[in-house]
Amino acid sequence: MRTRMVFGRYIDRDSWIHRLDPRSKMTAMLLFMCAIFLTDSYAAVLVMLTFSLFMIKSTNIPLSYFARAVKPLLFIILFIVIFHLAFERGGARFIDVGPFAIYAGGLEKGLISAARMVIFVALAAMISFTTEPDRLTQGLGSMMKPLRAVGFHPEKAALMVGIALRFIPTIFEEAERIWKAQLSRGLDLTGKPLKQRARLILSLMVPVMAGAFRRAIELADSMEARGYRLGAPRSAIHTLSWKARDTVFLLLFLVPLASVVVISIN
Amino acid sequence: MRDIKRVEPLAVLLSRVTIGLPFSGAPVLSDISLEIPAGQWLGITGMNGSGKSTLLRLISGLLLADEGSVTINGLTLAEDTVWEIRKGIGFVFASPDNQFVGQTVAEDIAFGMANRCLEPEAIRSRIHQYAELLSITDLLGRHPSSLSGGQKQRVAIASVLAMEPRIILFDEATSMLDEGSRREVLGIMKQLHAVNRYTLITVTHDTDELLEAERIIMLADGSVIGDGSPEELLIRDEWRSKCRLQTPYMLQLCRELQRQGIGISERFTEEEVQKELWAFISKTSLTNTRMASCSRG
Repeated sequence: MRTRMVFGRYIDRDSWIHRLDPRSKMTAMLLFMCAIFLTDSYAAVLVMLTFSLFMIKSTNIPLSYFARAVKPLLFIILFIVIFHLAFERGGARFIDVGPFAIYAGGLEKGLISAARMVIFVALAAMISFTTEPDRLTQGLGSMMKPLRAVGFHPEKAALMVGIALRFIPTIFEEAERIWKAQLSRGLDLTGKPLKQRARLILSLMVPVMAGAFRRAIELADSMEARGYRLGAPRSAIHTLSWKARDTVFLLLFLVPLASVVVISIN
Repeated sequence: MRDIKRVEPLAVLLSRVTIGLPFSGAPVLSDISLEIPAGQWLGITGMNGSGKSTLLRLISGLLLADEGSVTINGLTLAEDTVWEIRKGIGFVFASPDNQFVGQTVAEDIAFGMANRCLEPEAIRSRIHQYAELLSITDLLGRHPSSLSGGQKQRVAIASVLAMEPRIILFDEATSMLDEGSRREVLGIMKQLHAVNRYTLITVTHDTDELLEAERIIMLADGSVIGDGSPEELLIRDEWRSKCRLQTPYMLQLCRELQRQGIGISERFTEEEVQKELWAFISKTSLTNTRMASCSRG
């Protein structure tokens, strides 16, 4: 199960991106997100794609890992393309499919939207692939520090994210075990009406949820026994330090943003 | 009952402690008094629901007593002292999966030290020190879910040791492990007690584990029904049946040999049984030699 998980997974390679401060990667991702939102033409997609491929290549991680990160979203991507094809009108009329007509504008928007999603997910995966999970949560906590002013507790939030990432594979494993146990006792969803299917799935969810609560209670005991106190100051295994290369990395992300803005204006 | 000689300062002192269930108030432990000297290995056993785990949770400060007092390393347990007391106690739980906080082994070992605000350098140094001690250096970058049961418990022990406590509590820490991993963890416990002189308090149903302890207490319905050396208590069938404990393997062997007419005493360890058998064989062969020489004469 763990090997199938993509997000929250760290892939140990020797690259300059691996050595960066997690805060620079997360800030860069915010810039990249802005650029992605502004991407609305084939030229802009080309710029974003080239930039992403350069970044991916720099991580020394095979492209197949990034493809696996995108794979679970294929259904949504396909849905977005179909949606645009069916409802977007503009440009030359291509073909009629039943009550719908496919226009060149719809095709363009569908393809651009799909490309935007693929590029964004691949680059978001780059952060988790190149940053050790504890550094990632530590960086997240550090970046959320300004929110203290509005009563938000960044350390708690970072710990919560860390624990969630830690327990995702465990809960999935448990769900898989319960699912197999139910299958071995004759559970069969094929050909069942939707209502009955929902009820059967509920019979899977109840023990998984009960198990999750039991684990949460035991984990709380373990944390408390090791001296964890809500809101108390804590130190960390790593010290985050922003170096010149982090600034360079961040500035690099201004290139696609600026390019997309220029393309968009023109 | 054995009279405990106080040669060492007390690690744990429970004085007439009573604690009930949260809502009904039904007693889980009633009027328990217990003295555990520093450096002692105490085994706690009893049937399910007898209050063993509750006793450990009381000692660790995860629960506070309704009545009576709990003193750990000279400090009386109360809401304002609990965090100080916890610094001297490590707790290894039964389920290896549910005690991991970190996403990697190194991060998990660091968790307790980070709660004590240790410097990153000190944290990293202790991680390597205890990882080496427990032979888990190669696992430091791994995710907890990718470890075997024995490896997980070794990591849990390393996490506890890194906080450098004086008392370590094991709540059925070997119950979910296979035989190999169980022996591995038991070996670590023995080393911690013999070499490092930690005070160990282990809750277990395993007679082999109980035999390693210096002293055991038996609980039933929230009360101590037996307190003495493992040999003293485990040899008696009525004590074992009160806690539904298995007859130790070596004891079974001795009894079977006795039934076969081999006159050896009841012993618990392999070494002791070997000695008994050698003594019996030597005696028998001596007698046979004498008988043979008499008949020749």
